[in-house]
Amino acid sequence: MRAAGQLSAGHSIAPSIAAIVLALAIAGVVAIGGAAPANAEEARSPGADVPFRDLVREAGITFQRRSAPEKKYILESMSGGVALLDFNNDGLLDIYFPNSLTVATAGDPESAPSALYENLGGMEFVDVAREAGVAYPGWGMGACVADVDGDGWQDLYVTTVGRDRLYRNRGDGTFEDATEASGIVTDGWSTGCGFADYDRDGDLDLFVSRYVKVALDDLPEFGKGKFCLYRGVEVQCGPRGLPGSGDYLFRNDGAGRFEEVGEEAGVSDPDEYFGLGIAWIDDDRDGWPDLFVANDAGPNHFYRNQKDGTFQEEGFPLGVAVSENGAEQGCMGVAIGDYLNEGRLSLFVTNFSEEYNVFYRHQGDHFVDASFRSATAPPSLPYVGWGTAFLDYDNDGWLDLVVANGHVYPQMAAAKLGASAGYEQRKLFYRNRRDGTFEEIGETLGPAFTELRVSRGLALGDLDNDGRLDLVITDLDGPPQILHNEVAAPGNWLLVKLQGKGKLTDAIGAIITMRAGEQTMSRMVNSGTSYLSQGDMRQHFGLGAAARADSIEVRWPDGTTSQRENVEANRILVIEQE
Amino acid sequence: MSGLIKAGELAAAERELRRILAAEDGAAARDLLGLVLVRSGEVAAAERELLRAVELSPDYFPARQNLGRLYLQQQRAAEATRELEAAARLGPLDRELAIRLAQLEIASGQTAPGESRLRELADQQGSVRARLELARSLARRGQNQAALEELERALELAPSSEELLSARARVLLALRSPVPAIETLEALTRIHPTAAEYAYLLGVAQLQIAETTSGVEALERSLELEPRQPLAHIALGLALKEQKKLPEAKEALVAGLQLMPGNVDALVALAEAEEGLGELEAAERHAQRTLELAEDAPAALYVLGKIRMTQGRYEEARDALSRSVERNPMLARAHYQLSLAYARLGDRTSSQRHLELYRRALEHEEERLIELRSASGSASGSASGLPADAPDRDGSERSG
Repeated sequence: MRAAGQLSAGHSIAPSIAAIVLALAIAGVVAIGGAAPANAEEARSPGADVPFRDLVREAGITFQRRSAPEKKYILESMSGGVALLDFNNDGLLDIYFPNSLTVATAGDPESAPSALYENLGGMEFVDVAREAGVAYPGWGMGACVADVDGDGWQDLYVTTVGRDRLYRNRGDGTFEDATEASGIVTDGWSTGCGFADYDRDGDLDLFVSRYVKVALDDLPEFGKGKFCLYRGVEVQCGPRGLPGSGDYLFRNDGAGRFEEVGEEAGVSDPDEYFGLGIAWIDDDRDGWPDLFVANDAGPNHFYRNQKDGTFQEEGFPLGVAVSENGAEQGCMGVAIGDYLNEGRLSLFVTNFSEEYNVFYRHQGDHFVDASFRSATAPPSLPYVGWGTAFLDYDNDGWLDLVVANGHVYPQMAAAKLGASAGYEQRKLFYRNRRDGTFEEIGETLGPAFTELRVSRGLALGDLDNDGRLDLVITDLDGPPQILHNEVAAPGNWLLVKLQGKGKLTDAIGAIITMRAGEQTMSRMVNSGTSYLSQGDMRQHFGLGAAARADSIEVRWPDGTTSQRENVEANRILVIEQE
Repeated sequence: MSGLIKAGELAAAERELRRILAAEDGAAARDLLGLVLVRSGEVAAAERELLRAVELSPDYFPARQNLGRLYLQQQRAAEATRELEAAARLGPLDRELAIRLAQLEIASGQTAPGESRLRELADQQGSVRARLELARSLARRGQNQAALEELERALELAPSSEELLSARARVLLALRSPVPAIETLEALTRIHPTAAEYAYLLGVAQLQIAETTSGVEALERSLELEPRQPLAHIALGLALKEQKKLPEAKEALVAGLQLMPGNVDALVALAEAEEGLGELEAAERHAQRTLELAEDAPAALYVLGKIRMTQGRYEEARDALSRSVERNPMLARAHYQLSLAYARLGDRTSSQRHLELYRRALEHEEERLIELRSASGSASGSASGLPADAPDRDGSERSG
């Protein structure tokens, strides 16, 4: 049963006010007061007894992902992501759901419209995809967001089976399909995507991972062949046994055109592993974005930026290619976070069932598989993990962790399961114990987390600007979940929106370091991550009992820095690059 | 006389025999008196009478056979062997005694005559029991294929024999043919659902083909039926460790070690589980204990290497891991950690070399498992192409 209930009280910022706030950002730093609940009683919605409630119906979200019931082909099991963006610059996060087709409906792209839900405030949404021109990207898989042309309006990139779409935001509530004009040409099956200025030439480039090489007129027959059985049950074939696909890196020429440079940059994946989730990460904090690619059924890639337009693949020596015992895993989604408040970005990767979600702890100049030592591994073993994110759900100053789960084979519902959970699965939620370990508390978080579903994408953002992070999670079939954070007695918080200069208005790649009380927290502005999804680019900081941030440092993508001190808590803080 | 004995009137029979012997001493009467005394529980007196019978007539076959049987009952193996061999030279032993004699001979190191005797009984008398014992003897000598052939012949005569099926399963396991072993053991567990041993063997067989989930279920069922099985605890611990269920693995291994202290497999697996759980001190203690018992055990060296990696003592890690792969060049996970150790030490060339060796070992392991599984018709592979819980790969059996 899906949780339903009343709208949370105290939604703070009306769209008009939020727009004004953003306008004021031109002045530099703008603090927006009034959004924070003053105390636990205010923070708690009437009748709420769990920290997250699914408000999908109350929010007016009727999107249904379309997928063939039997999932006879792997194409029908892998969609899809979700993107949070503020496409109309009203200060409220909107939601884009790319929809998927099926083998049967592949010739009819309009049979499964994607949805763009405009956030009206008060946790109410309306689908404007058709009017906005983003309803029919094709066979949608995932999405990522960036202000690609630097005009101050967030654009949208949609990965697909077929040709991906770049939708340029016109700034009037509509998008134009700029795929052709951009020169971005993809084929095959794209999955993850993310923008970053990898060559630091002042504009955003784009990485796109690809999965399996497929031809719709020559698909492997369901259940036929040695890679089409699971525990003796006939299932869809692949990815094992099917050819993989290399990845793309599109370099922005600064004039609105992109050129594919994956091979010369060293990120084309000539071995053609099955690429899924991606994350740009500046783990060595040298100001040059590095890149992590989660590969299903193969070693992950970690591309170290060589600062000359090329990358060196260092997944193995860095310790993030495989698990600690050398096992290649079925990697799907990826989250990055400084979970120990030590200024180091660690990686968390979701995996197939009976493997474990792997926690690559950053150790300075390499990573170690801390999955068991962090206690995140054991609870994950029965589940097939997808979307994931670090989040400080209760604003205590420590990053917690969430994972969306769901199997790929509906045939599992009738099969012997072994150690795996069934086709529909609950979610995992790890509470940070602040000592390097986590406690999995998903089963205590109410129906939003315990309901058995077949989840995929996950995006994190503060949908109502109340300082508490909400979650949007997609399902393979059916409606998504809009998990409204109603945690009681949250700590203080700051939501930091960076306004970069030049074409890098989103400040993608910037790192924010905030000191508050005893804690020093780091966040990186990112495009992409999770499973084929895009979260809020504003960076959320829980401050616990601290009433203010003692200091905030922003290291911008071009290497320059900005400092702020003594910033009052419970604000959306806009910092403009000088 | 025989009527009295058959009727159980032993006192009367003894009186009559003593009367006869008082009149005329003779081996046959002494032999019969010995038998009566055996039945009366007067074993020492019986032995005296049988010895006297043999003394009176060394070639009197029944007395020697009965004396041999008496020694067997008293578990006096050498004397039993001597008398039964002497008897066998005089005439055909009872089949059961002939088999017992063969067993005694084999146990005392006279394998050839023992096996010859069993083969003769099996071939000439069609003795299933003799063929089973012959197979057991062959298996003990490592002649598993020959043992299997004998068992197959015996099964033609007694296809439902529990003992034969059980022996066949064991031999198949020894032959690393787990798939037919599983078929046999599944039949046995269906027929004897409360037999802990069969559930245990089934679990072991399933683990051999990396059907870890089924293996764990079978082992847990076996331990429910009979908790005091050290090997079942240990096998369960090993399987749970492969499933990454480290706390549960540790519990099973500790239980196994309580029943069978010093089991090297359990010790090293316990060390590995503890290392995974971050219990480095205990892990090191158990790894060192393993190395005391089995010098240069590659898995123990691997655990030590992992511990040193965690501690950032990369040179020591390199040394331990190097020793590990020297002892077992196909230990993929050790090559992987060694490549990391070299990377931490800045030796990219060696790091790369062990990465290549890791990949090769992984391929080898994959081929081995595919080969093992191919006979089962189970083509499921993990996300990485391997069945669940392959030693150096993580677990899913995803078709892709």
